[in-house]
Amino acid sequence: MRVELAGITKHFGSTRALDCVDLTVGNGELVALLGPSGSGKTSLLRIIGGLEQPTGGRVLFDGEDATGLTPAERGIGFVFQHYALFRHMSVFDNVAFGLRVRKRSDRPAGAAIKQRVGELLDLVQLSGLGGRLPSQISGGQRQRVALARALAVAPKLLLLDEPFGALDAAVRHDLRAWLGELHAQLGLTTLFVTHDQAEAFELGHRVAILRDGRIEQIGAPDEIYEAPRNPFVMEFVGRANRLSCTIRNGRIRATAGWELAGGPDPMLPDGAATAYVRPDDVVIHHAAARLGAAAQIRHRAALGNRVRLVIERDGEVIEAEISRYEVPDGLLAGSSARVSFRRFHIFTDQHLPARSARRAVRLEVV
Amino acid sequence: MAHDVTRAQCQIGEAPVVRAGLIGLALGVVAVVLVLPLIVVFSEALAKGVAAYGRAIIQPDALAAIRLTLLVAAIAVPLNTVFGIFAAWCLGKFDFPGRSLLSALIDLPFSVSPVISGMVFVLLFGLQGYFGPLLAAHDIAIVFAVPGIVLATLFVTFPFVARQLTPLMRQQGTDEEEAAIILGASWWQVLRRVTLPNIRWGLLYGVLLCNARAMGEFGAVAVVSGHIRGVTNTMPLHVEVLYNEYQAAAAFAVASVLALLGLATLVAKTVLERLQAVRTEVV
Repeated sequence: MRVELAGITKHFGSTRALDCVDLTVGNGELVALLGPSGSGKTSLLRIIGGLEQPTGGRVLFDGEDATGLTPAERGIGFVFQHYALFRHMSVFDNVAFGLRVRKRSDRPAGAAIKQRVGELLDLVQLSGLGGRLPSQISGGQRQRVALARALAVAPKLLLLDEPFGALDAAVRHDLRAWLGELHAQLGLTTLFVTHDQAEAFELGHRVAILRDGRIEQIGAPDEIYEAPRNPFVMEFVGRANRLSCTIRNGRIRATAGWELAGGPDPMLPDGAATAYVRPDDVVIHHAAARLGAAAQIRHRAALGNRVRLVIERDGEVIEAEISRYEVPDGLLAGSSARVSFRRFHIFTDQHLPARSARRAVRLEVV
Repeated sequence: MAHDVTRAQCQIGEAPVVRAGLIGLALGVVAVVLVLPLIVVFSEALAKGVAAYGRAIIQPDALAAIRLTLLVAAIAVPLNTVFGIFAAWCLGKFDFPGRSLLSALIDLPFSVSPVISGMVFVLLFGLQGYFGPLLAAHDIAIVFAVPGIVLATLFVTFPFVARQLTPLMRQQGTDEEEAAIILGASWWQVLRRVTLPNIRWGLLYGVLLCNARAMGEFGAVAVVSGHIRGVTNTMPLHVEVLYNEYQAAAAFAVASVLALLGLATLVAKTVLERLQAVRTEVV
């Protein structure tokens, strides 16, 4: 099922949780809604699911207006953050619930329900646990019961709210991979909410970044990482060093004298700007090299196969995290080195009020 | 090793003498305040022999009082159970303007004296009351009749079920209900298959408390009843009437029946709590 959101706005009292959100999710697509807490991502999911009514805007399923439909009429599966399993019912009864509450005319016979639930429990690898109560199984198992319960009614759209939020790291990792496989197998249009960037990037075909009730950027994980549209996305997705700069006549000059390569660009407006450099885009050269800008290594930490370096030039400190094979021999804390950047992103920050800083002109220099 | 642990525990706890003293004091208070009166009720009831006891109970006025008490409880408890569930549902599952006001109003019967509750109904429905002339014109008797007693009992026992369930429902949240709605359940299916099963133990407990109070209520009922023997006397009122007429044995006989009904409620509650404990262990 194709989902389109057109101008979805949601107010809770005087607070605006969602501000004119447009989003299209293609049939069979797996889209992650990623954002910090309070960004409106769960509200958006609940509006698609019909648990909340938007203050304005429309929800379209396969081109047809679904805004006024009840949750049940929408044909969706919803997995809650804390699973919301029926605590007094066995795993089997939980999964069978959606089939058993149907009108008599649509309700499958007992044997058919039993068979369907059996298949679903097989699918989520829980066959044999049908008789347990939710309190008698592990968190990861509960998660899968919630998924089987949502799938039992053969939904055309699957909505997951922080699907791995309540699980510990190891289980989370396994379940993430498993959910990806399951999606590939079922091909069900799926939207999930997360605040965990790794989760969104690993699972999502596309990722929508939300902040303050707006979608800041939507695109494939690579696209978002490689070409963040604004400083918020830049900093929210992965780490970034901030270098203060000034632009004059299209030329960028770092205040601390870092080398920011690239010819003059007449598109760049004059004034203050900030250059962002990811720690893995920092290149360290030997102190005697003729490349980059001279700097001091303040700190060096070995992180297994990677090395983290804290580098200072003219009072400005940046961090590099690079493969240990990229570190020049004999480089220690206190050594001098020369530093250049594989790539950086520059955003002007002059003449922009704080609130609309996100609309900063994105001028990428690679 | 084990020896050390025991010694350490002894040092942390109170001295044995203090402990024994505290337990003794508690048991003593329970004996004097709770057990002794109960023994007195039964011994006084049987003071003139089993035959007199039996006669006191099968006396028509006494039987009428027992019937009336059971009737009032049979009306008030189910109604308050339904009201209580819906009130707790509103308070526990939704946030709306006036929620705390409603919550305070539900507590009103607890916070005002039952006598005042009774007076209110007399003021409303009595001959001199606001609706008195209207009711008299249609020949409807509320005060000094069974409807008044039922109303007063309803009022006094209103908070029990709602108070028992509201915190429970609040703690359980609305996730399960939302999940059920998305899976296609109607509101009735949500209530019957999800909400009620989750609160069943709290509900039973609330109903038992409500029942105990409905059968035992004196103050509010005394005001609206009018003490018409064999017609509007409930058991507590009948006990008082008998006692004032110096028929102590008969008064205690009826009182013992009331006490037995109360004890049966307590036993039922304890059994249910045991069952729940066993269930929780299994879980």
